[in-house]
Amino acid sequence: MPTPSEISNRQSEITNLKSAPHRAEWAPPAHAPRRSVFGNYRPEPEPAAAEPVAAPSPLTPAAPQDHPETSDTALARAFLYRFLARAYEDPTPLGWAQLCAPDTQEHLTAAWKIAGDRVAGSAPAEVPASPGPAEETAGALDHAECARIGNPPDGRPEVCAAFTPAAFDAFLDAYLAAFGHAARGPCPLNEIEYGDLKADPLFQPHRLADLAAFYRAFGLEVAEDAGERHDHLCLELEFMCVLAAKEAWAREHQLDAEPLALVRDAQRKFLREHLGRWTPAFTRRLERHATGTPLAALARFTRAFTLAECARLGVPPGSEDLLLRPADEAAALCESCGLAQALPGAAPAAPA
Amino acid sequence: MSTVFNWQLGRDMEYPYEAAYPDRQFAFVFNLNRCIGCQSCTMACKSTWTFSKGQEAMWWNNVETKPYGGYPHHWDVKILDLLNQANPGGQTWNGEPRPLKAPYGRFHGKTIFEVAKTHVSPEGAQRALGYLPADEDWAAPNRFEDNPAGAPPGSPGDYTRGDARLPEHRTWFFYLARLCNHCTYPACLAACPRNAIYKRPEDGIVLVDQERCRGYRKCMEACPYKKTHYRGTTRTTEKCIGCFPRVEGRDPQGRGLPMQTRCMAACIGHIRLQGLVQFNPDGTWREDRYNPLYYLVHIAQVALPLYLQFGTEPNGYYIPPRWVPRPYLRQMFGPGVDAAIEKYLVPDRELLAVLQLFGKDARMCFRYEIRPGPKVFETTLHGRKFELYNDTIIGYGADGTKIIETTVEEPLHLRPEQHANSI
Repeated sequence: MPTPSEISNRQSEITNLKSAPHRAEWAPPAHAPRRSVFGNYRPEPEPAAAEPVAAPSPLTPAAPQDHPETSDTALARAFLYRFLARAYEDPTPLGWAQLCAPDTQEHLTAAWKIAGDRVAGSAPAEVPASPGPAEETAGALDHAECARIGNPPDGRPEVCAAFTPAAFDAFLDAYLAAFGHAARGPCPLNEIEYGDLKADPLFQPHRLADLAAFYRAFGLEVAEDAGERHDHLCLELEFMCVLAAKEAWAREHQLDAEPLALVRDAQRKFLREHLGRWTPAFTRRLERHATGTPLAALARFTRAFTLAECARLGVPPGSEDLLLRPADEAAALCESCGLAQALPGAAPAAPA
Repeated sequence: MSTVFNWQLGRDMEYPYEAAYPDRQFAFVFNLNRCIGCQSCTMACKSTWTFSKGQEAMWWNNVETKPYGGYPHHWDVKILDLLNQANPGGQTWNGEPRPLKAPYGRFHGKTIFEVAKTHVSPEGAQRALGYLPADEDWAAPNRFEDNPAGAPPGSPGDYTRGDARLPEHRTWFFYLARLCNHCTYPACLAACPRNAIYKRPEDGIVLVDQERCRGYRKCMEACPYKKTHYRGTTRTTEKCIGCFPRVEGRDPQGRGLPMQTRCMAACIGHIRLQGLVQFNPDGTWREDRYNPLYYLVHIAQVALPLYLQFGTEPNGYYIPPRWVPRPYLRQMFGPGVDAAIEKYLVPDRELLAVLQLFGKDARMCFRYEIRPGPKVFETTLHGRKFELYNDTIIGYGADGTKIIETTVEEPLHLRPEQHANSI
């Protein structure tokens, strides 16, 4: 039970976040150059005149007129997120029937036509002008592939063909084989399983806390009967669905620029820090593992959509080669401190 | 080398760069008489800034037990020893105190910058005398620290008695809370071969530019307080950033007003007061009579800089613990110790009121005002007459907003008779 002061604190946090999005960030303000009182430190020359800034800074959301987005695009994106969230849920005959229903497929095709247009053109408008070397190669490969998936001959995404009422058993088998009954199958559905132990600046609990904060900032809580951690793919997709729907609402009702910029910025950050970071690696792993099943088609579609989203929001997608964290990372950390060996009754440490 | 004026030493000294002063300077006062070593400050800092991989042994704020403790181990003993080797027996004070320009008299010894000219380390000449702590020096902070000095050998369960009597305890220790002093003449900045360290003109906070730093660790060697830390995962040095977003007033909690740092605001003992002060062109403090920091440092002179003889003009000030033997305190806080303790033992009306400002509000107090109250009682303290007035002190934030209003005597609430046992 939160105390009254906790509730009011939370509300004021949310108000503050909404009223002044730049204040929620503790990064140095963009306008403040680094200066020193002593002569030792000379600031770098400003590169402003030399190279025009192609990508909007993640801290300064682009003004609404910068991207020719409409409420239809946002609604279509919300639908696609929702569709994917449903598709990755534990398969049930009822859920499968809904996914395969002609209505759903029709909407999916229509939504993909609207929201997937980013992969059809040549260079995505909001992608940073000079991505790093790794991003560049990954981006080039994916772009060709995305164009292939994004422009199916009849405009119907591949998943529509793969998701047929008869394919439920094949899908279920592939789902169980890929995700497993245990905590961690060959292709984990949870974000924090992905990441390089050395390169990732956040520990796993920090990632979870960050996700929870994202959800809470928009007044969302994980349902008690969901039984999933905050980093489950379905939860992340549903969160993006909510944000896209909020964006659609803001555009539809012609709200002033601020709520729109806020919700747009949140999508960008969430994609950069969470969903877009690990989905490329996840879908690649899944596609390889589930070759020839409806699940592989779903993986390809997810990747094409994620990359289209990254291009749309100007976020560099994460690496496809992101590894799984070692399963015994916690155990390894535990052993290194020596406490376990020091406890009474512990097995003697192996001689070095 | 150029010549700069160091008011804490009461004289000019040498520094590698031309004298220049920020518009305002980050400064703080800690009342060591009240520190209980609970480490709330340490954890507030840790959980805000240094919780990531590679920062495990990094404590921008730490509380250590004196005389035997230290983080890194024996940092002060080692640097004092190096100074003594370079200038044996010469680290002395002399001269008459003068307000503002030389409040503690004149220092006749050598600072770490002056000694460095003649001190050549194995790697060549240094900009500032120093040593690089070994890796194990950073490990196990606070371990085996809480040992009193001067205790006779005893046995378990046998406590010393009769030693705790002011003015000095025969058996003693005290807690020393430390963070980066954001020095006026930082040694870390002077020593950096890549010019990666800068002192911000707006608030005097000293920062390491992470894009320029290459982890040579010259700053760790040079900082006499050992308050820069190496991070293995990024191969750069990191240090206290003075919670600059809060100082700038960008923490939403402050509603636009500058706030004190996390470690100051989290202090449960209310030992800490942080603010911003201003400089005159000659490097002395600009008069600001009703700024609590100016009052405590220059008017009441109860707050003294830590190891001022190093010569970096640290901006952390301490009200010395009154039970500790004076020679130890004089070494640590300079010759102003005796007067400061005298003043603190029997505080006057204004000092008592200003001491109430500590820890009352997380926003920074720039000015105070005292509304006289009635006399409550009078007594004799340490052979001197002491009168207690229940004055009201009012503190104002950066823009003149009233942020604190409190009285010297805490309000007393008595549970009415009929509710005496209502729990």
